Amino acid sequence: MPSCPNCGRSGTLSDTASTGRGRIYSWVVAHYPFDEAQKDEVPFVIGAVDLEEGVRAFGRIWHVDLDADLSELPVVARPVPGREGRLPMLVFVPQPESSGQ
Amino acid sequence: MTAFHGRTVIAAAGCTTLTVNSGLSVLDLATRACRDAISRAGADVGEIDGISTFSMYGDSVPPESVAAALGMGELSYVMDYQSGGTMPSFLVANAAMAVFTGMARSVLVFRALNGRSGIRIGRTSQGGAALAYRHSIGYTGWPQVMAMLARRYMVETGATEECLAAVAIAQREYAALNERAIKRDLLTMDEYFASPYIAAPYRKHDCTTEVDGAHAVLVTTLDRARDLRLRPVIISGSAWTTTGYDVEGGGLHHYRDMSRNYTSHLAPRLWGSGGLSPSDVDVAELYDCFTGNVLMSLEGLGFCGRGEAGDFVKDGHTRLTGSLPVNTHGGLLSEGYVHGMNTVSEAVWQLQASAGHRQVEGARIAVVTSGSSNAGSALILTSE
Repeated sequence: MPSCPNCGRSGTLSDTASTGRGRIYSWVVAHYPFDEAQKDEVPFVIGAVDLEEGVRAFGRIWHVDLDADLSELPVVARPVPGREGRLPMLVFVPQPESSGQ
Repeated sequence: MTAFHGRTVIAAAGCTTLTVNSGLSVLDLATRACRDAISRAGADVGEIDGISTFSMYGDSVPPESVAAALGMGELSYVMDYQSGGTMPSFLVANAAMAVFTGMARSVLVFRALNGRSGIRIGRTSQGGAALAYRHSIGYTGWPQVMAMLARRYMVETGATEECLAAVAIAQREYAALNERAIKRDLLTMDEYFASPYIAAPYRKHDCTTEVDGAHAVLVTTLDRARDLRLRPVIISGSAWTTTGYDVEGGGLHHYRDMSRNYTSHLAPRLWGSGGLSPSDVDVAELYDCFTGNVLMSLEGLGFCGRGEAGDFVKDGHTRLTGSLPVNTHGGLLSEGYVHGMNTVSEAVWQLQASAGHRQVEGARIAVVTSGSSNAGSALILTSE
């Protein structure tokens, strides 16, 4: 984004560190690998996570059951190096206090 | 009402056979569908001076190429929009504006693709500015993006997978009556649940069926259409919306409420433009690349209250004998994925009383939608 999608201003954008904490807004379980290179990774969970800072991020969700209700589950981000020269993979895991075990 | 509504029409709809391997070029398919529309209308190709289309991932041909193949003369209106299923209703409305203002006399609007034997949109990893981030997490398929909306819709409304199944099953009943449909065997609840997940909550039967083929409609003024062969289908209302667009289609970082689709945003303008309300509608042809989209659109347009669409479909209201027949051709789910152009054609044929075994008796007012997430368009079509 060259400028702010909320007001259109450019030149006022800056980086802000996120806590990485948020809640799962929605999620899907990928069974069909649309990327041939990830066919050994399915099934995996992709979540839309609303971060505490107010933005939405998409990432893999690890350490959850494939058929669990993940709605509003508190999660925290854990960057994982990408495979074969790709960008790092944004991964979310349940927040320790919410895992319940 | 907007000025062109009520004064412009679809004179005819045409198509090719839908197949899984056409053995024809996309140019050939497009030309055949356009010729079919012209022929059904009883129009003279020399009177048509506009042509428009849309494509995705470079899967089609420029409209001017099709005009050349049709032997059209000088063109006064062209349009080629590189976007997906948001376009059919909008391109018809846009063509209507062109003929109403006098920029063109008559405009062909077509969609042609070898969607099964050529470029398969549903299996293609999307391209776009922010996609590098989505590639790494494996979030690049349209079924995944649309399933993300469906899941949130289900969370907020309590809709179940049975509700999704009911859409697929109801539409297959129509496809069984439709000789053009690619999937005509009735679908049972057991078969639905036995089909594999593609991107849960979406299973195979929640997803559109890719086909090769083309559909086209001829848009002109009401006055000109009176000299043509078929009963004119009047463009009585239309609307477009884009809400919360990201840097690329399918990004949806800025589309806050994924439990609703574009129909929720355009409904007030759509009904206002036509001076009509949901209770006036005899038949609804709702863009259905995936089952959940039908439920969200039934609610977004006001045919059902929030969270009621699943029961509405399960209770048979969308069947041929129901209060609101929906996707009477079988939809993109079962007739085939001509990217929603066939959804427009079906409404035209219903209002021209030429829909054969799936004809809704006395259908005079139809609504058509085009789109699946944060952007899309819709039409209200009526017969005289």
